[in-house]
Amino acid sequence: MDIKLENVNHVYNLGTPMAVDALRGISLMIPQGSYTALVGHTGSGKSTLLQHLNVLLKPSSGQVILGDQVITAKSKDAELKSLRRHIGTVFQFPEAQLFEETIVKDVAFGPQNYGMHQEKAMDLAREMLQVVGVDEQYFNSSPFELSGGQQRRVAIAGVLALEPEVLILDEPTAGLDPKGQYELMSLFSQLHKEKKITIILATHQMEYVAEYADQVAVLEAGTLVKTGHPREIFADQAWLKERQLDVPEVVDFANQLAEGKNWSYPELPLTIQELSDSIAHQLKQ
Amino acid sequence: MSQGIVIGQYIPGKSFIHRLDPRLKVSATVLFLITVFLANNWLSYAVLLAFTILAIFLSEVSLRFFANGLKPLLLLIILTVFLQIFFTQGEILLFNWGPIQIYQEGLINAAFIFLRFMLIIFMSTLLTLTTMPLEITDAIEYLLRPLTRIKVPVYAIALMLSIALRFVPTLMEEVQKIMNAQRARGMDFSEGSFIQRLKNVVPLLIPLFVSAFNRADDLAIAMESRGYQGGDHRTKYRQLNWMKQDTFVLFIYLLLGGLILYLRS
Amino acid sequence: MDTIIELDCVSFSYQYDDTGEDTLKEVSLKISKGEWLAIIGPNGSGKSTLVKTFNGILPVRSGRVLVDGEVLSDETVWEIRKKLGMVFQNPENQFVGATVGDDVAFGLENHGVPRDEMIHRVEKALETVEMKEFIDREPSSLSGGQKQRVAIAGILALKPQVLVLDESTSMLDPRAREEIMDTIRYIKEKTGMTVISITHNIDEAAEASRIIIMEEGRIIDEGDSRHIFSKGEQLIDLGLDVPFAERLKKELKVQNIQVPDDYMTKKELRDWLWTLNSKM
Repeated sequence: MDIKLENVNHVYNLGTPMAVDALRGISLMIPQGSYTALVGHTGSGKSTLLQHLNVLLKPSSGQVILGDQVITAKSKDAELKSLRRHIGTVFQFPEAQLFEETIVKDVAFGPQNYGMHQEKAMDLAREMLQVVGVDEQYFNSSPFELSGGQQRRVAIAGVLALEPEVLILDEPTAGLDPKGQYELMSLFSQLHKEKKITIILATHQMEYVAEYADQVAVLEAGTLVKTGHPREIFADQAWLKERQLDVPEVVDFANQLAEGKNWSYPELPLTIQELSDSIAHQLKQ
Repeated sequence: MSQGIVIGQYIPGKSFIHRLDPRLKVSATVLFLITVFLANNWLSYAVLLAFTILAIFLSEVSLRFFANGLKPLLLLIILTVFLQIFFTQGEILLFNWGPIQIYQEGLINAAFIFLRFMLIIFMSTLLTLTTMPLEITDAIEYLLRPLTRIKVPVYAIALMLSIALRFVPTLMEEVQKIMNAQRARGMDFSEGSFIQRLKNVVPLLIPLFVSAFNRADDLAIAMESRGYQGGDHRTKYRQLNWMKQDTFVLFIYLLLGGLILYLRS
Repeated sequence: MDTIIELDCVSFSYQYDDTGEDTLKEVSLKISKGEWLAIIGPNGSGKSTLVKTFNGILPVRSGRVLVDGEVLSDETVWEIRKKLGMVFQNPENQFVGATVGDDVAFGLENHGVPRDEMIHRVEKALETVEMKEFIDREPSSLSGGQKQRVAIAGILALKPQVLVLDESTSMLDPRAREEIMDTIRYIKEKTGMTVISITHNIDEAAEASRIIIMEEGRIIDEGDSRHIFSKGEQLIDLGLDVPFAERLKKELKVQNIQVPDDYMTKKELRDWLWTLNSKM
């Protein structure tokens, strides 16, 4: 399913003295099977935008098009629930959603809400827990007995159990140590590649944007200020710096190297491998 | 993103009423409530009503907000008023229709009860509209201070109250977050029978409790690290300033009470 | 140099821990006045438990804790808590006061500081963390980074000798994290305060003059960043990232470029590559 936003505006507390313009004139195309990164500072509207993609919010004006469904300010709430089934969302600190007695039951909660039979849902839950790498010995433990990192995985399994076509990730690695972060990011990448799940990632970590995304959208104060391939976005380090946004360490190092004599790149390297390739290439000239 | 959750009903302002000491406002409100119960004739009620209208006018807060304070109690008021009309026995029968008899005394009682409700609600709403919840806590702490002599932990209670107030927006935001997460997993909070809706609360309440307990744990550690050990040897950062106009207003309330007592028939 | 914190054979176990194993196993450690110490290690290695024994939040089962020459005991604990401030991970959960000013004053109230002095100290502390204009704001209107700065101000107001950061930046975005680090650097420079930080962030660890590594309740290694970062790939299992230069060196080796084995900073690697390039 392709996702399209057309001139989406969102105002919180519409019609009250406390009204806040959270999104202004957002138009964005997210093709099926793509990996899109949303970057921007806290308060730039990322979370509000994500809540339009999983139809927890309706646009105040403009439209959100999910596949062949058009969502506008007038859409009925009842229609939205069935749409949500195809769009999984991993919220920030998703372990906050756990509530069942056992982790299997918790993971099975989503599919059961969409009418899946309990036993089938439990089977699916076990499968998903294996996908996220939770050991079988914990399946019948209370989610509250697990470590923070394990809880996060259980929560993610709970989202994957909806078997979504689109996976929305809002800072999914926040608060984890680097090892836990790498493991989760490669899990998402694997789902993207093997199951062809469309991924939409909101993050502050430009390393992940460079490594995984094929499209970046930069948000600033509720407007979309730039969209493009990571290579285009990161090519303009000065533009990003003006907005107090970082470039990945690789790009920063490549730029530093390029200040020396006789350095040039055929193409801006985005990953360590690309950087090392281009250094080798340079040295062999 | 925070949507600016407002706690309490406080409407920021700089009116005469806003600037009064919260201790005065709390004690004056209590005095007024007592005075209202002393009133038992038309003239007393007329005086009290005029006084309330003047206070509302001085607060510079729109009447709309006072009406909001009335809403949750409307059913109770109507019910009480009707009970008074239909069940008060008296001497002057105005209306007789089978089992229903309405006496003049009933009507008068109903009118008094209605007025009493209005006065009490408007005056206590005036307090909450013009005083921050925290100031009210400070005032209550100060006014209850004598109770420390009989070993009531007034300071601890006041601190507890102010922490509870401080965490209201945090927990509201948390509720919103958990609801969103469960809705994204196909939960519908607004559908189904009454029993179903009651069951729907579980996926919301359990995570909320777990998080509240975790927060309490963290908070206790942070407070201890910063030297909190209870007791009343603590000094205070917040200070209330009793001014001339506070004494003046207190005097007026006492006069009002005296007047109503004098007018009692 | 003078020692500010000394741990002598300290063991600790949580009551609810049914594995029967101690969370801290006979840990001995000396921290000097004015040093910046980073503590790293995988989750559950006892880092956070360790620092909570410094001010008696967690009472040790055996061994001795000395802060500024005084043995930690029921009598000295409140004095010690004045000398040693802690900033924790979650910005929301350590904000006690109803407003910024109240929160900074909380510690001062606890220690019975007179009101006139309190007002002065609150303002000064907020000035240091550049939050003075927020003095009347409520916590719900602040960002995570701002709340952490207020938490730091609340500690500074007590004029402590040691500032402990227990993963204080892990829930913040990169910009807020950078701002907090700027604030800490500024305070360190101005007051010469001892800083102890638990972190999973390599840039933060790199700020320290000494790094200790904890694993399973013991200190398994210590040294300066050069020594610790030369562990390369191992660092990832110790809760830290692999330094960028080390990662790049590994890839360059795959390309048959003979990089030196010794630890290099980014700048050193860049210079080395430039030299190599000019020789070609």
